[in-house]
Amino acid sequence: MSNLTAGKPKIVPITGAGACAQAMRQINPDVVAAFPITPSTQIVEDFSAFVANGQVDTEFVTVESEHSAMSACIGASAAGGRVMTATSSAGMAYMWELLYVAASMRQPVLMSLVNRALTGPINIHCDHSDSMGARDAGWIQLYSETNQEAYDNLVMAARIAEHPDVRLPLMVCQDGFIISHSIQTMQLEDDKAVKAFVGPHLPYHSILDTAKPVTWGALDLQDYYIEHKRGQEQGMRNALRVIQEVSDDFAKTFGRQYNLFEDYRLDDAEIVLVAINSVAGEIKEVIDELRTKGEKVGLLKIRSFRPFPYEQIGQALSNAKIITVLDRSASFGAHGPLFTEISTAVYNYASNRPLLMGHTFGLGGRELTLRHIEHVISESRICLDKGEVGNRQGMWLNVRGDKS
Amino acid sequence: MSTLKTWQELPHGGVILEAGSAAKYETGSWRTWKPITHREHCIHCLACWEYCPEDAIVLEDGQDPSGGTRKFVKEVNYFHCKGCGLCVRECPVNKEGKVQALGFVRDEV
Amino acid sequence: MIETTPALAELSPETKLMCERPGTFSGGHRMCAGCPTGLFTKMLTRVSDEYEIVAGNATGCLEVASSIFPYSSWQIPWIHTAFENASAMMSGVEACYRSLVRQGKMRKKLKFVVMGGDGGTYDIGLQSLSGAMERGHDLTYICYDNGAYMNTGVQRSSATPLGAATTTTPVGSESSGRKGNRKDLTKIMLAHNLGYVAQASIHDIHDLFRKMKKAIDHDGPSFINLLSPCIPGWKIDADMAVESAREGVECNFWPLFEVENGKFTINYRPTAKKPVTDWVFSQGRFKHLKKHPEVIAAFQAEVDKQWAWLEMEEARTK
Repeated sequence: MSNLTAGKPKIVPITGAGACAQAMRQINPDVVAAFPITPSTQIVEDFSAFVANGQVDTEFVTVESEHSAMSACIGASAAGGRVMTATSSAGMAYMWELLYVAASMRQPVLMSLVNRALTGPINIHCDHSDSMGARDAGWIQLYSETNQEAYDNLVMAARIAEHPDVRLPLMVCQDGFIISHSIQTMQLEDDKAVKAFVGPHLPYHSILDTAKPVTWGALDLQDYYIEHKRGQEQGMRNALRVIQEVSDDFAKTFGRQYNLFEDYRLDDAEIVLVAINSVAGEIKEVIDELRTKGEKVGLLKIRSFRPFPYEQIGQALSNAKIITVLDRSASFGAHGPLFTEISTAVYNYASNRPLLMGHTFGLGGRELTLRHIEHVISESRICLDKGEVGNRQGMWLNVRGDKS
Repeated sequence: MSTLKTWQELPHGGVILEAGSAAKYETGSWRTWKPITHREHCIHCLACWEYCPEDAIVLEDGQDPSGGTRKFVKEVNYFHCKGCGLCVRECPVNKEGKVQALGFVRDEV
Repeated sequence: MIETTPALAELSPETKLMCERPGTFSGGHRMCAGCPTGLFTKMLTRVSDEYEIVAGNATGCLEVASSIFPYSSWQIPWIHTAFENASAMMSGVEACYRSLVRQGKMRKKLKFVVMGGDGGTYDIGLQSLSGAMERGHDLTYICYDNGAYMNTGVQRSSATPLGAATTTTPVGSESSGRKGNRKDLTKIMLAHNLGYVAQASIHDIHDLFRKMKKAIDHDGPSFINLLSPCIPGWKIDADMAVESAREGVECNFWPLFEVENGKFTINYRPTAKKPVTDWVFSQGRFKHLKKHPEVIAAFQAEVDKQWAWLEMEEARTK
């Protein structure tokens, strides 16, 4: 594209974690507070090297736990700084209480989350139980299929999170190991171009402003708590617009267009798969293959899970005849979190009533191969032909043992 | 009409922008006993001011006999005084036991 | 003109300095009547005029009662996020300050104070406190130790003294109150090899003033453990907090001392050694111990042991 304003980018082979560390270097936050946890460790290791070599102005706080990492991030943000952290799984679970505090205090803390299964049994590999569990914490959640998307999302993150109409913390999610540790080639943008795109951070009632002393973190009783929560909700509602605005500006600057979700060969698709993060890549490959055989298959890939763009997604799914949602996390005793959101979107905003089916897959890093995806699509076709989902609802894919 | 603010009127994140706004909150209504200053006996050592957890002992500037300025105990701020009696107990004049620089009387309801 | 029949008292240098400087903490807070936490909080800005103070608080009585929206007693910048993380939160504040100074975006000299009760410091906040102190942030941590979780209704903490009745160590046919001796947090902080560690008591404001100034002046982490009686928790009258703290020091339960770069100084030696019983039996939380002389004996033995340790350390580091 000739009208791009950015400087010259580089094509680099890099892991997803490495790409996020590069984005952090370019963003040059005032404070990073982080604790090592697999598979997010490379992010802070790389970043530590940038600190050690004087490539950033960042004060890196090597906290003794993730709980303290998020606490320090909130403190630093309230002190008027641009603040980042990185974590995974149990690390974010240990931050749990403070995730809510960051959001309710409207501190635009930025997190690079490398998705990993939550313990029980302990497992270091990918699923989305960490971020899906945190979906009600009040954080904006952007998901990334590739290294490039993880990097791009992080470059856009500060402008979304710090926007005066939003002021909410934001996590950029990528799949543990599958993306974080896999080397892919991607476009690393010019340092100055990223800096110009991200722009300066404007503090909001900094705790360091002794001329105007403010009180942060006061107790709310019944007379104010719900008003503050309503204001917080408005930040999330506004984020839908702001994410798109920043994404459009990113496209003008760097040439890659992102939206709240990606519709892949969706227009005439009768069978639509809905997925998040890296598995979308495999699904696209299967779709391309099936399309050559005339199968009307498409994909809707979520980018913004919080806020969730119900209306746009419902409309985008209006032509589908069956929608099969793949959840990489389980809500035990209930449908998967993505399935329930898609159901809500379709019920309220789609102009037809497609069949809806949800499956669970990939917990603890269990692979989902192209063959499994083909199977999911053929099962969807059978349901569509029969006009009902029946006992195919709620399958766990690629699990040993009889279906019951 | 309610003075409580709507959600749109509140600054983000529950921040309180007015420093020391609690000064507007009356805690004097908690009181059942109240300290009263007997200035004729007060030596203005400021112990009551130092020990008051409510910052309810009001000081004022005045002149000491040598002509220098110093702080003097002026009065009790009954809007905040909860009537705990710490000032009365810790008053060194009271402790001597001859006279009272701070009395403690039943507050009127 | 003020009429002054009796001779004017001579003001101590500490009092002179304090009363001329603006305070930190307005009235209208909702601590219990007679709660002495207001004594040290209002002094934060009065210890020095060479810098300004930014404060953080762990969840607890002080935090809750001083910041009920839209009312705040704090006349300085103040932040609270949770119970167990005040030191980590303030690590972030202080780290941000250092980053902004380095970038030339901040020119004021600021100092950072963290406050928490014994629950938020000895117990749930110990990890984040230890981490912040070990990393060397320029923080002064002031623990106001009242010996139990008072904010939630007097449950035992690891600072609760032997034999004290709390709502989770109630007296019963099988119980004479809290079993075992309290944790010695001051010693734990000494093990961090901080430049400045002190024990102070709410009754000696001038000693506290000096210690707060030393601690805050000190560049780097410092710690003050402050004895701060609780009216309902100790079951004492509303005017008794200062007297009760004084008696706690007089019987050596709470020695006043400071450790500067490893050197111990005992700041106060009781003129006549008093048994702990005077102090203990002035409080409702210990009254059942009249029937448990063996607990009193153990209490006294522990106090004597710790005092001996302190004298030994002072002699050793002379």
